[in-house]
Amino acid sequence: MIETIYIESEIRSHPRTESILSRFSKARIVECERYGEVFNPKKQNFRLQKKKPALILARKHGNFILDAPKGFGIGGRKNYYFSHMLNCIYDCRYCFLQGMYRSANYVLFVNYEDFQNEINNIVEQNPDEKEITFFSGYDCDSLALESVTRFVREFLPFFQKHKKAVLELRTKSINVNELLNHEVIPNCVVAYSFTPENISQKLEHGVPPVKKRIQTMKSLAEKGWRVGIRLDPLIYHESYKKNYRKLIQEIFYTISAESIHSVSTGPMRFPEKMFHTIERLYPDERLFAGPLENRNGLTSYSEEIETEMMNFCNTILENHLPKNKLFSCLQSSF
Amino acid sequence: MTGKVNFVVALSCEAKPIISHFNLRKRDSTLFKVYSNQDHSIRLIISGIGSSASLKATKHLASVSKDDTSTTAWLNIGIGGHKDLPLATAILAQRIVDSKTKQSWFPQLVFDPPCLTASVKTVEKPDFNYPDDNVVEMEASGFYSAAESYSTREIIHCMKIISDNSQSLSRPPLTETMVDELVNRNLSSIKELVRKLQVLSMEEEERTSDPPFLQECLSLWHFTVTQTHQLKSLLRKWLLLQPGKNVLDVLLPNCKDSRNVIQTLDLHLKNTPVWMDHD
Repeated sequence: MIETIYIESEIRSHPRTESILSRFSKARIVECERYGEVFNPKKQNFRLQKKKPALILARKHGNFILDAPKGFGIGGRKNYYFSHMLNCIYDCRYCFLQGMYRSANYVLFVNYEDFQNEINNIVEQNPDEKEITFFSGYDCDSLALESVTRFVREFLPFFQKHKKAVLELRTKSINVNELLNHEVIPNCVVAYSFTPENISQKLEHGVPPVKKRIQTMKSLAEKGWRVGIRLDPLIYHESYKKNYRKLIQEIFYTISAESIHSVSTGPMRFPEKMFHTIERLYPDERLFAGPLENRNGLTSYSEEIETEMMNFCNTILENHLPKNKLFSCLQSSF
Repeated sequence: MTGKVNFVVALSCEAKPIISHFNLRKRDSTLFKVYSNQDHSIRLIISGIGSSASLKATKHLASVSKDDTSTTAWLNIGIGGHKDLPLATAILAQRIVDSKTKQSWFPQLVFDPPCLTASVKTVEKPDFNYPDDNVVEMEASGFYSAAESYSTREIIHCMKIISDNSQSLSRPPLTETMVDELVNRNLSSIKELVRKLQVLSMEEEERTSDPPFLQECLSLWHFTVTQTHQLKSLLRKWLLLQPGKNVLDVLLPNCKDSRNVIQTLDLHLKNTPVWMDHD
């Protein structure tokens, strides 16, 4: 799958680098000084790079843990996010990453311990907080590249020791062996993102089918893991009511409501400039021909459509879950 | 659409097999020798030796390629040395480093390369010491830095053919005939690479091409630059939401001016239901 691996010279001998390289004996290895030399140059084409993304192994030098954007949360007062990886193996047409980065290559920061030290510092600096949430799947899918990153394998034991820190793994992956083989830890939420099956087939390229994701959630829930549902972004289309109703019913038919930690819904929003980048990359995409407008620097559906969709989904969700488990992610910045 | 490829080659003897295979003809040009095929989808320039010459030639070729060069693929072909790669081996550059400035470029390999890949070092003078694992040559950095002004890294590539190594130094110096033969022996790899680049270039041409009815609208009404951008965007949406329908007949026959065209299109598209596939 990965044919080219760029490595910062500085971490060529890092144990995690060596471990990854041992699993890609046939890969083309190219050394660089800083990952930005490969990842950041202007003259790159995200769409073309999606044909064959490379892996870039790098060291992160700061800003390990960041404040979550306003409106992003699942009940906790303090919300942070961190990105051990940039970019995703999936190719979802509504994803902001395609407009955020010039390159579709995957950047993996191998210095996990620095992220963990920073989480530890935040927990220690907030002794009065009962719970602090750390979102891991903001700039990547938390689980999809586990066979390469071993992220879950390395971070679960850490969070097991830091019970006040809640880890959200946000994913569409059905590759959950690491979780199924690990003792359940109560301060971890495995959150699955969904759009209705027909929309998923059209917009979520390379993503496991909705049914398989629901079955995977079921296995995790039966093992005792707390699972979350993320209907974010909500995709407007002619039959959205029928399709979202069907999706929600299918999820709750398969998974007991007691296993569900939280459900969040959110509208599709992009900063205007980012939207134009994405629209130029995919001018043939019907999603972007929808009834979108510019409001407060963001490109989104009209307020009326956003509210209608959020209300519709939340009304159905309230039939299955108490209101304190339902969250609206009205992200206004990226 | 065919996809466009621009070759930048230092020497006539390196270019000869390429000119012959792609049936290129010499075109009028004062500064450099420029060749192209009949439909100008493949062009070639002979730059002369050195990074600076290659940079200038690349810029010149872009300036004489009157059409939009942002979707054109660029390919530098030449000879180079390596400490132990066998003679006549073709390599595609995975990294290019300029020995003087230390600047690096990383061509993005979004296709299966038709040959080995290796890192390439551009030097100012011929260097037969081969101090590291790089292929040593004299043009790639100048070529790449210039080509990057026009296209993206996925469609700008350098192929080098090994002409000397640490075992070959005792042999007689290279002649033009020998260089011609080295390139000739790798023509199949060059052809394959060109095919792959043409496909990518064509995809980019399609992605960036004007939507149907744009030229007709521009000839019927006067649009400002900003309005032209708006019109392009709206006509693309029209194509997606009303495929197969002639916007001029269906929606715009009574429009008086450009403002009216944009307002009419915008309002209509906002009220058009969005059906996704399998909806």
